[in-house]
Amino acid sequence: MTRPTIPSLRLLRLREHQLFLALTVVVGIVAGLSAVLFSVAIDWMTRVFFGLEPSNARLFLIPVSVSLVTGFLLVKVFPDVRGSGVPQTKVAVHLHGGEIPARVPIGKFLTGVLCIASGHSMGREGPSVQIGAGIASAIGRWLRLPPDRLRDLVPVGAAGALAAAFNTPVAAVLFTLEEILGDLNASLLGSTVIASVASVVVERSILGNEPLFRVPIYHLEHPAELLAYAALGIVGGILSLLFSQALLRSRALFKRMPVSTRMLQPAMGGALIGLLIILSPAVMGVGYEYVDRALNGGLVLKTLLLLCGLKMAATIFSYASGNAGGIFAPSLYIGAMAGGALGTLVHRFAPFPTAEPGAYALVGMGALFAGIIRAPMTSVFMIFEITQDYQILVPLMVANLLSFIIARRFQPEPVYHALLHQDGIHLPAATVSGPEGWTAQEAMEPAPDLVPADASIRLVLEASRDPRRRAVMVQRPDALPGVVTYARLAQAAMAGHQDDAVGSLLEGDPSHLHPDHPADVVIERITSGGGWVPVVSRDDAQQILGVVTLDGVARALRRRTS
Amino acid sequence: MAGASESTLIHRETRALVLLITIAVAAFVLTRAVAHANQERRQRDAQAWFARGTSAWQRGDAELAAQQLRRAAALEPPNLPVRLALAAALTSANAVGEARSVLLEARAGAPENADVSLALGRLEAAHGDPSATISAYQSALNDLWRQSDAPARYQIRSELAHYLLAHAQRGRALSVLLILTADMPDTAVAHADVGRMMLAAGEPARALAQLQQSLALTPSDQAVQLSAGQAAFGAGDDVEALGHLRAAADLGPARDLAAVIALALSHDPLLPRLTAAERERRLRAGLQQVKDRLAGCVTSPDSTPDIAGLALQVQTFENSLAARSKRRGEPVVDLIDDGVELIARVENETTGCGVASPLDQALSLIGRRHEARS
Repeated sequence: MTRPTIPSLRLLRLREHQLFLALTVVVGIVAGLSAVLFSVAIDWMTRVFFGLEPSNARLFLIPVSVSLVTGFLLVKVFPDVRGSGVPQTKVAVHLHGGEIPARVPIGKFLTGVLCIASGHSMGREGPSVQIGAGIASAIGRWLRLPPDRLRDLVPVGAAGALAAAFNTPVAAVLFTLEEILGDLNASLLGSTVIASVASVVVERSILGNEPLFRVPIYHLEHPAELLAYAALGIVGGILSLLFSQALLRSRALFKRMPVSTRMLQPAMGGALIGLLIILSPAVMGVGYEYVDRALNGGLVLKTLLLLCGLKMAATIFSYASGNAGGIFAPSLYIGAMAGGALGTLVHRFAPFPTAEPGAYALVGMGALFAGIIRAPMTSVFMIFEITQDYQILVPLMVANLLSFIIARRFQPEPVYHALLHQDGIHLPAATVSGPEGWTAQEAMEPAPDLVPADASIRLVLEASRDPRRRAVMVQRPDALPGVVTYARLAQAAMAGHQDDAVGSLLEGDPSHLHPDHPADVVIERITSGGGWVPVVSRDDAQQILGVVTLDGVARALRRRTS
Repeated sequence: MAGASESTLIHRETRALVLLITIAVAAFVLTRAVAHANQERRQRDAQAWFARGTSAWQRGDAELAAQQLRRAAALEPPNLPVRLALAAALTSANAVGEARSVLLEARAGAPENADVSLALGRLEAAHGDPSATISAYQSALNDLWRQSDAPARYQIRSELAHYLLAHAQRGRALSVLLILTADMPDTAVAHADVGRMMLAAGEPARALAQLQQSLALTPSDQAVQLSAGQAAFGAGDDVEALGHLRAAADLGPARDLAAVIALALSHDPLLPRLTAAERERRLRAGLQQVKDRLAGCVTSPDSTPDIAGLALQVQTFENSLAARSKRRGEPVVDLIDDGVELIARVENETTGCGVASPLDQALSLIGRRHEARS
């Protein structure tokens, strides 16, 4: 076979671009349809499970019994579909080159419908994102797209699905860039816009033009009101922190339970949810009907406060126990209730004219979203798309900014990243483009001998036979591995601690590196790591790839300069 | 060969794309069918909740009704009857703010629906400010432009006019009434209602015309006779007024007003076609009445120095009258006006001295009538 000529290659490249463009439209449409079907299925199954007016027994038994089924599915059949779907999509894009197994969108659809329809307090947007991304990946792999194109198609599917799920095409694009890709200047802007538009056109042709929320036009009644909105931003930041911390700690609690309970954990969450929804059915499922009421001033102060607290608890129970569903919608719900409550107080006691409490509920939605999800641009545009009113933008930006700053100040790691960390997955930082130079991969050496953390210092010293070895790698369950030098071991033995576990010599969270870390990060961490830093996989922080030492850094530098 | 592999590649891509599009179309059809079935199910559920909510409201349980109608509205947002029922239930449950939001929302979705505008107008009339009320009613009227909508337009204008009169906006009420008369049903009830509103708006002549039309259809309606009597009285036609009032003799207010009017007719010294002697007699009778009233006021604990001064003025006037009549050939007619004015002033100043008798009321009326004419 003769090689293609240069004009033919150029033609093929053009066709690839055109093919990708066509795929963008098709993926946007299919992802949008999947989101619509997902939403409809949840609605239908909710009716099937609970009927028109369920009894208290049914309110309790449905979440428990359905969660037993989903527990089995999530452990045995679809182990990759627990949780929201947004962090998992990010992992697929950044670590797996866009590869998402076909069973993931299928499993997410099935378990998502069952979990949310059975009353768990979770959102449908996160699962929609993962389903759309999975569909895009499946299409891309079927068409045997090149790896870079496959990776690019996945966020396109995510954007399409989210646009249909929330009926906000602009916010969907921004969320994809801001959260999934982590880069607002991504070259995929055009593709995500096309997919988002195609998806929304399809969604509206099926579901009509009814807005998700019916929001009156709200105005800034007096400049002094900005102070009230600033206060809302502060409250939002604090609540975001509380929620995120409680979620992470509760999830850590469930993860520490014996492995044999994993199949039952969703049902444990189901039992807690069952009790909560007997107390207040308003906290079950997505709950947009109650958000709508808060936005229209239809809830009194006591109800707003109660629902805010109960929804936080319900979402934490549902998510932490391992069910399939997102935190997107619960963030908006909690924000609406908190904002509405503060707005009620402001409206009652402020010495200056103020807007109705519904305005504060609207801004509260954005503030909590910015604080929890850490997507402030998405938050502003999402609220704007819901209201189509410029006048609320200024208070919204004020509240969003404050909430975001406060939440980030006290919890620098966004909740999605923190959830992945709990699973041993470390995503790269948002700004991946580092200086041109060497990476940790180039300075890496084979890992030293691996010893369990509970091995005694005496045993480790006796087992060491190779005089060239200067350190050992200590493997710790549920924590990053660390490196202990033989000098340190000898010192500990001489001090009479030879029977202590070698893991006791590691203090706190030791430094670690990933293969793609740039030179400046390597140098910073090797300085603080005492000259030895383990290199672990981003995909699984327990997987040790090697170690970086000062010698390795020197060799990498010499190679670069020679 | 290169061309052949290129061709194969292109055909494979094209086939794949066509297949994908086919799958997308099939998925669209399936999704739409499922969504449509779900929508029908939601509508059935909405109807079930609507029925429950309506039943609860009829039983008087406004809060339960609101709760159930909210479920119906959430299941089928564009359903206007549900939203209207929800707004009514919320209003009954004192959730006026939420009721207003529901109606505003409904109007945003159906800006030309008169029922929604009217419901909003009624809500604002009961709980809101006049400008919002008028605006809502005007919107309702603007939505009813067909010939067949005339009865509805009448009903709305009538409600609006009643509201405006209740809020002392007589000028605006009159504007509405004038438009209303051009488009109103020809029934006794309608004419009577409009006539009464005209009277309240300060247009007794127009009111009388409407009431007479009502009486032409139902002559035996004493309530209308009373209103017609009041209108005629207000228009200054006492004879007609008496006629109507006597036809409503079974009604206390009619009898009372008729008595006053009759006394006014028999004690007014400035009526046309009276002899000089009759004028003087009537004037003296009036002076005697106010003297008696002043005598009662002087002994009253609420008496003021003005009362004594007035009594002196009356006595002085009586003396002048007596002196003039003694001098034969000197007419007293030029004193009649001053006398009527003095009597009216005394009646006005003595309103705090106890209940005014029908004659006192008649004397005050005489004074007001003549003041208005001069």
